Amino acid sequence: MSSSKLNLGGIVTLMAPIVLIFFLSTSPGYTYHQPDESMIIVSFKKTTERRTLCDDSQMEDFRSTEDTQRSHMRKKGRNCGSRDRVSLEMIINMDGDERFNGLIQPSGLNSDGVVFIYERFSIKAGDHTIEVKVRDNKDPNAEFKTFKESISLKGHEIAVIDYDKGKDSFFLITGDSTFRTMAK
Amino acid sequence: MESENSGVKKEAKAAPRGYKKSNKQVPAILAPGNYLLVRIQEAFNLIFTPAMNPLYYLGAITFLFFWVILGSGAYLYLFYNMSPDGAYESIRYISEDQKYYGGIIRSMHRYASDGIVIVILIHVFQVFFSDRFRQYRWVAWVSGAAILPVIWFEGASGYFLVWDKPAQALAMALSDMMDVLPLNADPVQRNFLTPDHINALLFFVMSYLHLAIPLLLLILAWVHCMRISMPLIHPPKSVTIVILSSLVALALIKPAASGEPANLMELVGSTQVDWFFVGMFPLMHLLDITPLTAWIAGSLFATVFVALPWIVPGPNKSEVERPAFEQAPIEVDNDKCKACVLCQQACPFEAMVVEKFPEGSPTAGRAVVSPEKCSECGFCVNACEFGLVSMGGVNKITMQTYIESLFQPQKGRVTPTSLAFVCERSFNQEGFYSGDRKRLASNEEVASVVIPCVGILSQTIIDASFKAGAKGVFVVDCRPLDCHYREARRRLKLSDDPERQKFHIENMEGDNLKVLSVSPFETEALVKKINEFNEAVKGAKKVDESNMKDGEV
Repeated sequence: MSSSKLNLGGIVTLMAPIVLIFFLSTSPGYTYHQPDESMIIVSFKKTTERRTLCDDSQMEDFRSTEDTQRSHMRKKGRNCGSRDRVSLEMIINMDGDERFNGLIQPSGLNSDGVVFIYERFSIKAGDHTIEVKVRDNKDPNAEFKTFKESISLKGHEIAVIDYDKGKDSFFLITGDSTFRTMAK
Repeated sequence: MESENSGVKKEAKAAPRGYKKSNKQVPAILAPGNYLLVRIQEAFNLIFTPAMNPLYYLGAITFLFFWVILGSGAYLYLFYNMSPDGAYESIRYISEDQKYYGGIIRSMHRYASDGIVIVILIHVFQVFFSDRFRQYRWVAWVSGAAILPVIWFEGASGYFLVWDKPAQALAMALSDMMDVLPLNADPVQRNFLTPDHINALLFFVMSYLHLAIPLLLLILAWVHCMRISMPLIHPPKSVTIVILSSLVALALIKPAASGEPANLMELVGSTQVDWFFVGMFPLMHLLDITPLTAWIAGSLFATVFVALPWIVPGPNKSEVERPAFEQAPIEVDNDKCKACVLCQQACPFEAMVVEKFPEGSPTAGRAVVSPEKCSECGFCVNACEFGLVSMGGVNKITMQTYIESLFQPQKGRVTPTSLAFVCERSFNQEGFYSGDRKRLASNEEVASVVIPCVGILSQTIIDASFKAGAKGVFVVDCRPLDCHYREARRRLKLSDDPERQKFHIENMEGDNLKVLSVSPFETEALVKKINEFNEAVKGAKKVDESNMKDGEV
């Protein structure tokens, strides 16, 4: 380590990067979302139907081996049918405008896992009507299940639409953390 | 001499293109950046003096910031609450309820992390444009490239732990980035869906990552320096004091403060941004760059960055002014090796290792050179007092013979009175030499020997110069702390043995031996100084080598 001393010019120059840190550590600030902006997040996970289910004779065979099955395999219909599951079709309308229309694949290499969805929709603050239509039936002609709800969003408020597996229904979580089941 | 020695230049080469201004031997593609870099370095030399120039201590200053971050982080850790609900409040407590100690420590922690980014960016610029990232230096470059994302993640994880609005914006941006990768079926974004979705373990894991990463950084720093002997890891005391004082001053003037607490049910509006660490995310948002595009661009950049040592072509050797002693692979006559380890001590890149054999063995040991680490600087050639190490056929004995040949009377030429050893990387040498490069163009009385680095000089060579007939020896060096081979003037000081320290050329300086480190842009001033020196020694008697003592001329 050198024992030399710095002159005044050296001290000032060495302190110069501090000015850079002074400014760039916090500013300029950035506005990610305008004050009148709010957001709806549709995010849930759902297990869709198996692509093919076993027929009665196969089910009978399956039942006959129940004694040898482990406990988690004994649920009715479990492990009976094809491994892969159907994709989930989803349409999201906001105030009558279609904001999303897509087919979401089940996770897993064999498409045998859960369908995960995470979609963000930026929307102006105010009153809105949201409609979520889903279909995850192996029958391609099956009807969409439709859920609809009106919501009033404040600026910067986030509302989350999630799925309730027990009720097979969607529900809304609003900015004040209140839950509301969406009407079918 | 020339017929005996394949390493000695036979004819002058054209001046190098692309870097004439500074004579730093860099590839043409780096020349403009190198010119700018050397200009900045020289401006800093005027302000700081070459011995105190912080640009020569960037690695050491990085270590200084690292220790500040580590020390201050240890204190903050004592009070940090690793839960989503308690994290923000614990940081607020440190900043506000311990304003004049915890608050300052938190601010220093934050500003030192910003400082480390600034210093590392300058360090990368300097290393790249001074052509110190290729060949035997590739390990330092690649490990340095690995350090960059780790440093960034360490900083970003620190911002996350505060769990304020900027942290929320960071968490959203990072989870968006991660969800593009086909790693998780369950989107990471769902962890930040509502306050209830945050796993209590998340802050615990992030805290321990934040604590563990410095250990990884230390390992990477060790790899970064592993091929460098005696790396500089401490800046000069006064530089340290000024930097630490600046951090304290900044902490007092602008204490680091948290933003509003994070609320996942509320969008992030206007927020402060630390542009050193998380500036990329506002830019991505502003320019509407998708995470996938960012990954592709980032991966391409990272790949090219890591591969630079193999992508950037070296200087065109045919255009470079070659030294009198050609750089070539090092060879050792191990049959006579005395295992004195002088060559090992002299090597700046730990390329030479001496193995000592047990007593009774035919030889005392052997010196092994690792070609992939060897820079061919020639330090070991002159370190070996027995002339057993050679470079391209040149060893200490043949070098002395070459120097003697310069002072042999030649028809039509005056016999030189003094000798200048010139580091080939020290300054713009265009037009500096005569046609055969054995004399100065401006003064036939001064013989010249262009060398790869003054680190190859030792008392034996200096003595040989006087013995050959030189009345004075002038050594032209580059800035000592900017030596391309790192060790030039301090290499023999590494030894604790005072007898060996005497070989340090600075210790031998006297009326007829001068060592001068020069600015790459001061050719005319240098010529003037050499001529003045030659005039001064011309009247002196020939040095009587029989009266020479070690360390004196």
